Amino acid sequence: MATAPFQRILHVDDQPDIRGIVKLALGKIGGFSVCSCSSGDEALAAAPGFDPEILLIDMSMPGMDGMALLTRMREAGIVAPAVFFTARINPSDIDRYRAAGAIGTVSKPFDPLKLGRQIIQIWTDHFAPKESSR
Amino acid sequence: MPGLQISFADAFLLAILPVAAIFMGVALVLLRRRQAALAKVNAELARERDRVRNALAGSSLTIWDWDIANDTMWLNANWKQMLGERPGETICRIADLLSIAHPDDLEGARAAGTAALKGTAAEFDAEFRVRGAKGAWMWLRCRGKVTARDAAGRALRASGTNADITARKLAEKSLAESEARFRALSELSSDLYWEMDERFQLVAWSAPAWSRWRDSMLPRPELEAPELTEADWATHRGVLEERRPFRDLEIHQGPADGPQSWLSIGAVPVTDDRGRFRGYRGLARIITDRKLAEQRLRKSESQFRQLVEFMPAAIVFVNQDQRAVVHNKAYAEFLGLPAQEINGRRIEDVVGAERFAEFEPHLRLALDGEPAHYTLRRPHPDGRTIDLDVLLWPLRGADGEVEGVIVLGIDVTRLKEADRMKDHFVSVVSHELRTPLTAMRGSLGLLAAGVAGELPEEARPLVDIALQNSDRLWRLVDDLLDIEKMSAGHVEFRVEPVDWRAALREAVDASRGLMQQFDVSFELEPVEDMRVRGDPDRLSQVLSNLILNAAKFSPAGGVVSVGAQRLAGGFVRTHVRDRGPGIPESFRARIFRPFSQAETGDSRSTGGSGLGLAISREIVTRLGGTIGFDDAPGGGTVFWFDLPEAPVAQ
Repeated sequence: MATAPFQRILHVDDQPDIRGIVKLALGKIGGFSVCSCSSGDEALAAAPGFDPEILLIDMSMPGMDGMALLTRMREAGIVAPAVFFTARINPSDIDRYRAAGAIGTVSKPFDPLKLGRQIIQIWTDHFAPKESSR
Repeated sequence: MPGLQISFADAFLLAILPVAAIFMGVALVLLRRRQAALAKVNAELARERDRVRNALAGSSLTIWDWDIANDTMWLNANWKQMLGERPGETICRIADLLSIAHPDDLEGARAAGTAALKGTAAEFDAEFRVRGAKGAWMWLRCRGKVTARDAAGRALRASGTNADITARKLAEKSLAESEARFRALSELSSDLYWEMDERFQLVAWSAPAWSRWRDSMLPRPELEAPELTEADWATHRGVLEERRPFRDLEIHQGPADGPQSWLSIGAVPVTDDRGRFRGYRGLARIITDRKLAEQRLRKSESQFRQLVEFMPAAIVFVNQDQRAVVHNKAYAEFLGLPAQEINGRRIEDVVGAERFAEFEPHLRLALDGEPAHYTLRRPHPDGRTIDLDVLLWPLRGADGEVEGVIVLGIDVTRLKEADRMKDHFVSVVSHELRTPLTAMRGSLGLLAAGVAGELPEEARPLVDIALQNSDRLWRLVDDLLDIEKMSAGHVEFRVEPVDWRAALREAVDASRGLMQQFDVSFELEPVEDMRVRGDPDRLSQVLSNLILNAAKFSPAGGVVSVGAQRLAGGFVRTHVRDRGPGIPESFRARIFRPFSQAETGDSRSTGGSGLGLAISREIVTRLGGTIGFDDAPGGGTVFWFDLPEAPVAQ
């Protein structure tokens, strides 16, 4: 993934299984540097030291959910673009997430082998849509 | 005494002279007296004659005298006057008189005459018509008597009178006609005519009408007093005691469980010529049918009123003046107002300006004849917040004009609640199912990709099986949520022009994986450059469902053809054709229902979620299209769907 526009990914999900798979999929297969956090608080604590280039945040988490976490991240000066993981498939929800500052969504379940490419696609669609093939 | 010689004769003469003188004087006196008496009698007679003449002249009575032996009839002057000729005595023969009599009356007159002449009748008395001078018939009453008979008893002379009774006859005739008219009326009329005497006993009635009444198994008029309520009877008795006329008095007869009858009675008091009360005379009309109909109407109205009253929906009928004419309990409860603050008042005043502003546009629409519908959410007086479905239905009169609007407010709070619960449930389940599925599918994918090292030969097919089935589970969860949300109308479509040739190529390319799995090949027919109006993601879902379906039901080595062409009317038909065995007749009707394939027991149903066709139909329908299938010529099945074409971009 030498063409990847980013390297450091901060992933937040309360489910340890998902964290493990994402870490494998993006780390071992994708070749990214992944920081896994199990909650919003943990992510807020880790973010300044890790200096993420992109945030992957699960929408539904106990306590602080994805939207709330993103707000707190922005308040804390973390400006990296965010992608939400979501189990919801309504277009109106996706619009809502976009409005909250996400550059895109990945719906669960996802194919771990394609996850890296999927996120790069979201990034390029957002930042350089004219160069995209679609 | 010679010198005085007086003869005896002289002496006798001398002696009787005075006597004679006396006699003569007496005779003279007597004669005078007799003459005076005679004159007196004569004068008396003349006076009498004058009196008779005057009386006859003054009366219309004709006097006649018939000399039967000589057949000479004498009639006084009145006769001609009676006939309308110039007055003058008449002398004629009996035949002359008979010649002017009415032929119909001749026989009767002759019979009476013969009886009188023979003496079998003491006198002659007959009524018959004669023709007057002007040709009109006039009625006569002729009375007479035989006044002389010979020794053998034969009638020699008869006399009598003729009276003109035309006026009486006319009066009798008119009375008879009037009676006949009355009889006909009372016989034909369904009203009953009756009379009561001064003791209120029924003394006369029109029999036919009463008997008709009796025939219909209804009580007879002789029966008991009218069944009136105490109050009605008191009022009515007051009327009777004051001998006033009355009308529309309704009385009921008959036992509660037997045949019922009602009469409507009107009457006027009858008085004699001295003004004394003699009873009542009146009409009674049988109004049983009307009363029964009224009763039925009242009953049905009461039933409907109760039905409306206890409906769990708020109901109000608003007329063209926007006033609340009828409303039910639920409506009053919804507003928290007593009925008297609603009835007849303008809706604007009842609900207040704020609520009315929301209601008015819908009301106006409905008053113009268009049914209207809207929903609202607001606090109920009992403290809950309720959701109401409000339906407005124009009510038209017999002439088709809108008379008012029925407003129906249905409490859908529970439905909305259930809906919200379902949405929540779906959202929770989707998350709860997807998360473990993501972990499972992810792990298997990584395993199969060799992230954990090369798999042993025996493990590889097992991991593939697990991977395929978790893919299937993934698809099932997606489809389940899709169909749920679509049927609830919660899925939004992004409708835009879709480059259809490219879309079909993409769909076929994306299905390449099925070629090996089902041992089929795909064929994309040449497609013109065209665009359809639709949601690109949803349409690719439809295509992929149909292609998967076709692949599953193709024989080994079969070809699945995909193509599209323009239809008349601005539509594009897209088709996916297989070379399979076709669809069994019994399955055709329910093929688009969810999970219908599983019910057939077809083993190939294990390949998909069972929702593909149901979702496809939902999507196509929502995009304004239609979907269906036909037997393909030469075997197999063609599934097709038609969508509106979008203009090709410049």
